[in-house]
Amino acid sequence: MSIRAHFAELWHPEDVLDSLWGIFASPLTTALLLLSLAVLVCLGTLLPQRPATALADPAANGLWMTSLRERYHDRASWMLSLGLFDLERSLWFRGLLGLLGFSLVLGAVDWIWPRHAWPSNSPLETNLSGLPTRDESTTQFIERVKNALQQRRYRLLASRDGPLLYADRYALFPFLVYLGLLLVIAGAALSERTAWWEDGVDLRRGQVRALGHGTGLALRAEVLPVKLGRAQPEQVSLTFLRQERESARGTLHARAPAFHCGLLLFLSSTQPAVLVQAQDKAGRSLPLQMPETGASQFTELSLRFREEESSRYIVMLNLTPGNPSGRYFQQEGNEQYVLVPGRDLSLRVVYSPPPDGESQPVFQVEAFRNGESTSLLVQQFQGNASLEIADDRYTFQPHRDATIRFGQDYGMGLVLGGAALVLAGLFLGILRPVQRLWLAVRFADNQIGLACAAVGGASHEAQPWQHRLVQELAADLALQTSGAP
Amino acid sequence: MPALVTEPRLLIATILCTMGSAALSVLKPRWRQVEVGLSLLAVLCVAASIALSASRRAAWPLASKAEVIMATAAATVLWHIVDRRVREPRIGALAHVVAVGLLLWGVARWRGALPPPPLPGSSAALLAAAQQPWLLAARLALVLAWGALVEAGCLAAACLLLAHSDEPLALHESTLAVPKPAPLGLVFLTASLFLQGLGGAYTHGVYWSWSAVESWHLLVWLYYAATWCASSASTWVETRLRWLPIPGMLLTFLALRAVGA
Repeated sequence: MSIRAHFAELWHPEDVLDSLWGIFASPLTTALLLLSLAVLVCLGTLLPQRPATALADPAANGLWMTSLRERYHDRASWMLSLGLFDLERSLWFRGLLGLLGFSLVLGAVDWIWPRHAWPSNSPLETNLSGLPTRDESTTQFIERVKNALQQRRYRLLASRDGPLLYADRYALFPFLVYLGLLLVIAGAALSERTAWWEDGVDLRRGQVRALGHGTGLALRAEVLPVKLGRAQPEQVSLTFLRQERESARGTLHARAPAFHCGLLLFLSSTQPAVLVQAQDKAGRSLPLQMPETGASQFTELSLRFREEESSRYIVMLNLTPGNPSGRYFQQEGNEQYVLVPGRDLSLRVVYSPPPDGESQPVFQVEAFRNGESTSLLVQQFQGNASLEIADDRYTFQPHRDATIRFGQDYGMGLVLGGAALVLAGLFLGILRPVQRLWLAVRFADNQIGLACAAVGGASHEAQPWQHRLVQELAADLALQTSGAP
Repeated sequence: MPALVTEPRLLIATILCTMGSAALSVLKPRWRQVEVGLSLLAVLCVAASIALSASRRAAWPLASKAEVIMATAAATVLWHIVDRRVREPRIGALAHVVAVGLLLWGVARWRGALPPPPLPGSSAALLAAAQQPWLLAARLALVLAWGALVEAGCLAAACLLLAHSDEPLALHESTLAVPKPAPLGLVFLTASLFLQGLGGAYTHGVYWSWSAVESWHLLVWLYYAATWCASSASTWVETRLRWLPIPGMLLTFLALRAVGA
């Protein structure tokens, strides 16, 4: 039977709602919707999609649109209007997901309470007939048929009108797949609507940061020191504060979540840092600046460095008048600068990774008078250190800063739970394929007739379980087979 | 003194064993046990070469594209051994030929003949500790899925090619239905996506991202899920479904191409 014939068979003009139910509940409809989604996903893979930065920033969006027009010329406008460059947020994608969800709901219901229409194109249509063994009515005979099937652990449903029986076994497994897919779609929708995340939240030692988003919580994070000589993943100690009072403590491990008050927290990275403070002879704090912060002055500065995973290079251009212009590569140092405007002084702090066998990195601080290229002072340190320059005291406290990610996503649980259900349903469905049987009882000419039609598996021929079941029913009910397939 | 067992030697042995198995399946179909033995040896050689490469890099296996492709070839041969319903020798030869093609593709992707220099001890330990077993579990399930889907596609393609042959096909009657590796491949692909999502959610709270790799995996999953739905429709007979693994196999090759290092 072709697809067209299948849907034509489901359509009954006298009962439109029932026809629509049949069409949307049909597994072929679900298959077509899944294939349509696959086509959209394929388009999303092949065509450039609007990045998140372009969504948030109109200037970035304008640049991205310009690049699209340069690439696709006249076609860009109609492709944009069709939403092909923003498929995830397009009506096509959401509409298809909605239709798929609707089809899955009806399909799932159909697995539990199937429609009692006699299946067409059944590979097994058998008639059993025989003389009634004792004075029994149609109802009593149907009860015998039901008992015979229930003994074989079939689930039975009877039609409201007429002696039509439906029996199935292992129909729970395809139902699990449908239910799982529904949960995945629902979870993804919930995630999109309600989930929020904050990425790249830098927390230096002692800093308290409000989490916001109506939580009423603030967070303080401190990277726990790694034990000397041991290579182990880092841990961050978390302290949650509510109204400036400690409400909870926790530990955040690398690549494992922490859970608190409905929030999920992840450790993105840690990086070496140095806290720099300066006091004069009288103990008053000296103002400090960094080139990145411009004219803003601080009483203490936290200098962050990167882990020395790979060398970085900068291009140096030689534009000295009289010399031929040239370029060369110079390795960029892992260094930071602190300016002390009140003392006409600059401090350069350079990071070096820990030597072999040690866990603490090495820092080198050089002090320069502004305008001079030779340093006043050079000192290396690994732990806390202090420096005295012209009766001023500069202290350096190495530590590690944490970058965390936190947020809330209730849809995640639904999605993962749904995926687990789909997996379970598919796997169990292979071990135990679904078996479905329709039976119609007839009394005519003093003879009992039992017509059987079965589906189960995609085969034009009857499955072995169907033959076996018919023979067992014939033996139990003392009937003979006629019209065998 | 150079090592006796190296990755290139193991891969050469794998290719020879697979080609030998394919030749035996056509020329000497009665030597099935020898054919199965050669196929198993090929699978073991691929596993050994991947393990050797991983130990040199001090990393988890199946982290690179080349290893995934070669493991898929091994999985294809493995599924062909497991799927004992197939009796027609010419059908098996196609699966072996495709496996050899995948092996050669994987070898071509393998960058450089020399292994990278070993990492210092402390860095290697940190790297191994930082890498999660999620990636290995997801990739293992993925490789088994790809192998099953490729084997199902080979089975369907061989049946299509031999359908008009004068000689009758010596097939088990259940082979007439949708090849069983296809539903098993769908199960393993679902498991891979599930483990990938679970691992992402556990390590950084992101269970899905629309990257090229994940999108291709989802594309193949949607195709086979549609096949599964169609197979449960009572009106579709197996003649329509029997050829569906062929385009699925082509999608699988495209998805393999998209797997990043």
